[in-house]
Amino acid sequence: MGKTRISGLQLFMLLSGFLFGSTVILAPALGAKNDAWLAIIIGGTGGALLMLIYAAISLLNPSKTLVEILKEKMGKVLGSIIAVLYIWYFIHLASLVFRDFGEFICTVTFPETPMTVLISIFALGVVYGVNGGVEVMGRMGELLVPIIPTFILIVSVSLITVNDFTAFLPVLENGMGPVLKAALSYITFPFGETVAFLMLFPNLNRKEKLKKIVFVSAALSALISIVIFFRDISVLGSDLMSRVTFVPHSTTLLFPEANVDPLVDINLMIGGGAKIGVCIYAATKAISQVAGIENYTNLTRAVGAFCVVLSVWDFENVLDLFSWTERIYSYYAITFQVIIPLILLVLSLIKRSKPAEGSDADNEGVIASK
Amino acid sequence: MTVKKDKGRKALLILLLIFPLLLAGCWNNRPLTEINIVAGMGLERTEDGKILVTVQVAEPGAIQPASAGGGSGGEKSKPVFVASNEGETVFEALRGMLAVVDKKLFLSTAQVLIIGEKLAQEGIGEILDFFERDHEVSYLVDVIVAKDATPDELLRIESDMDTIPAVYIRGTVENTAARGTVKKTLLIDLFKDMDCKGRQPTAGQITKSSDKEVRTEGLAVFRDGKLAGWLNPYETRGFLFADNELKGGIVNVPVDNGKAAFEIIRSKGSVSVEVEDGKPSMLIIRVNAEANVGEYGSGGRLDSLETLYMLEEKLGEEIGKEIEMALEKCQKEFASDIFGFGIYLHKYYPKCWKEVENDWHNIFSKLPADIRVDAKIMRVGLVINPVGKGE
Amino acid sequence: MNSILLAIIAVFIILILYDMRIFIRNKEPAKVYVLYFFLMGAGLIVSLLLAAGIRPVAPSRLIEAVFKMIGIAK
Repeated sequence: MGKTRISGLQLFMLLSGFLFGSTVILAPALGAKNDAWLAIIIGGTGGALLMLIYAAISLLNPSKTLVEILKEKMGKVLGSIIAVLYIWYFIHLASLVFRDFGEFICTVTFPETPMTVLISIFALGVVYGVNGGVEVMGRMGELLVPIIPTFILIVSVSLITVNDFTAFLPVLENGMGPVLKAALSYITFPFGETVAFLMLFPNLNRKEKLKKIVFVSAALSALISIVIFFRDISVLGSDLMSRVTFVPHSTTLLFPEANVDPLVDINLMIGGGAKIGVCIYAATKAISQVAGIENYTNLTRAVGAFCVVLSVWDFENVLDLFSWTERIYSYYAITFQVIIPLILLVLSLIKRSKPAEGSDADNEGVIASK
Repeated sequence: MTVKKDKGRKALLILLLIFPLLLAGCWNNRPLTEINIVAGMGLERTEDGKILVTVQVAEPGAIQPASAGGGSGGEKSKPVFVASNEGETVFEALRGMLAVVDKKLFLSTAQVLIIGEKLAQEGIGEILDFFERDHEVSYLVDVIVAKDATPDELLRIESDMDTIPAVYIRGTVENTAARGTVKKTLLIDLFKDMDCKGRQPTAGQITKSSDKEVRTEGLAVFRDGKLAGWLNPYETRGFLFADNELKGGIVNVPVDNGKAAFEIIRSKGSVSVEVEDGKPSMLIIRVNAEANVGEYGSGGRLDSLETLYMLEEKLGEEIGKEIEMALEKCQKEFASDIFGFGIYLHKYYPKCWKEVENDWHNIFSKLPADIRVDAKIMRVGLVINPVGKGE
Repeated sequence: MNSILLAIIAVFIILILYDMRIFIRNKEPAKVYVLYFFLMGAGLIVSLLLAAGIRPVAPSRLIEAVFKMIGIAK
């Protein structure tokens, strides 16, 4: 019974799937309209930096999860309080992704199926995967995540004939303001959300690769977002694009002579599944570490059930969801994604922990009992 | 213990394998026998301001090639039926139709959407919203505007050529689009242009030519979502040349003692605007066309390069004339920028566009135009000189 | 309406029974039970309220209120 380990490739796939997550259905940085590609480049750079900060925190505190780092650097009481806040954030994040997923399927694919049923059935699958442990999630990622860019590529290439390649002009019509705002929202969604991976990084088998993995997956995600943006705006035009609910879906509607909508659905299930899976894992793991429970799988079903209920409870309708995400989410997320990690980074740099002692004590917490 | 655990796992696995089936089986799945397959739709405004929706429904059973037995009753059942219903909104009218027809309407299969002239004149913006919003309607439906006929009449024709009239109509649209005298307009094209100030939407035109036939030729020009007028087939072609949408077509050119016909093989058109001192000063249209000689019976000898160059010039002039006709009509009669000059301004002179944006109709209709067509004749066909002109 | 309430209760009972079996077999400590029933209870109560047509104040609204109080968000 060793510590559960995942390989570099598995972590990379999981991270990429997490980053694709909801961006498969909600095009990022749309607030910048025609200049969204600029916002994606700026935001992607910022996002990659942010993720490198997470990696640095994890490398400075080897074999420690976020909760353990918090407890060590901030003291037991304050650390536990912040850890509880993080638990809430992970649960809330999972419920937001659940809701995005549900709203999309309900609008597009199964309009008469109650959303709660869709979300619950999806949750069953995800929770089952999480219960399998980090290794299972990693292997799932390895197997499924490469499908996402493949499908995106298929759709993009097939739509090349209906393109108007200059549709993204003019550049910077409304100045830099909206671009920077959109870039900021692109950093918080999806890059900053990878803070949940601080619970997972300790499971990587080869630490020296961590920074590379993080950087490449961030770059890949930004690159694919740019491809998607150019595809969508070339196909839909900027006027229509600013009006539709789910941009990538509307684009696939124009696929000649075939209905390729299921490709988007499949991408959503893989990306969303990876994202929700990691969030639930992070939340459950954090709960058990705060409370000192050995086997986190005891609580996954409870956390999963709570996420489902929360996703239905949190917003009255789809516009409520969108407007909240647009107005509040960035501020809410920055606390967890930027401020606290930065404090942690500084604290970690000041008093470096002794890895030898720490890792021995921590091993027990990570073992998934079998 | 382990055996028991394995059993539990297996049971769970089987359960999980069943869930995807649940996902695939829609909450409200509808077998093919329980839906009406809509082949065509029509929209028209009634006298009292309501919306009249007409659907043409195909009966799969009746379309199958005549079976050996010829049916039990001897009389062949009709392959399609047409039903119409009116309502305050499109959605209400469509759903209200269920009081008349027996099964639910399945809209994804619709081939054409015919918009009535009256409705088009009053504005299609509000009507189209339903088609944009509803998840069942395909964005790739052909949209055509009916002239001198109601959509209801057009959908009720019984064509000899295809058992389903809507399919027949779509076929004619495709044919004419290949000849360059009608623009194949998809629903998505309308959505795109509808909200765009730099370009006004257009759609194909359909008329009823006899009891059993329709004619799809010409173009409906919109302005601010309302039908502004029609372009005739030649003007339509001129517009398509400039819009870079021309797929092919036959252009006649006057020669010695009659006319010669040239077949357009390829054509590339572009529009732009010249800006002087921050103000648009000239509309520019450039077309490069390649053509083959299709018919030259009334011309002279064709074996000298000089003749060919002369013909190229004439062909270019002829195309230029068509474009000029279309542009002039759009400027003088409709004040509607269907060419997308506004989009060009928006893209490359955003500051200038901000100033003229709100008055673009007027500014556009007063601008002079510079149209240049470069026509090339590539091949002459299987013979060089026409009858009686050889040595 | 009643059938929905019943369905929710049934789903939660199945989930709880399934987990209880595992907990008892593994002789989990009391804090596991406490946390488990806290989460499950919260979920059950909220979902029952939702099904009954009462929507408790959503967490997102609270978060919004907090940020408005600090004066960051508009």
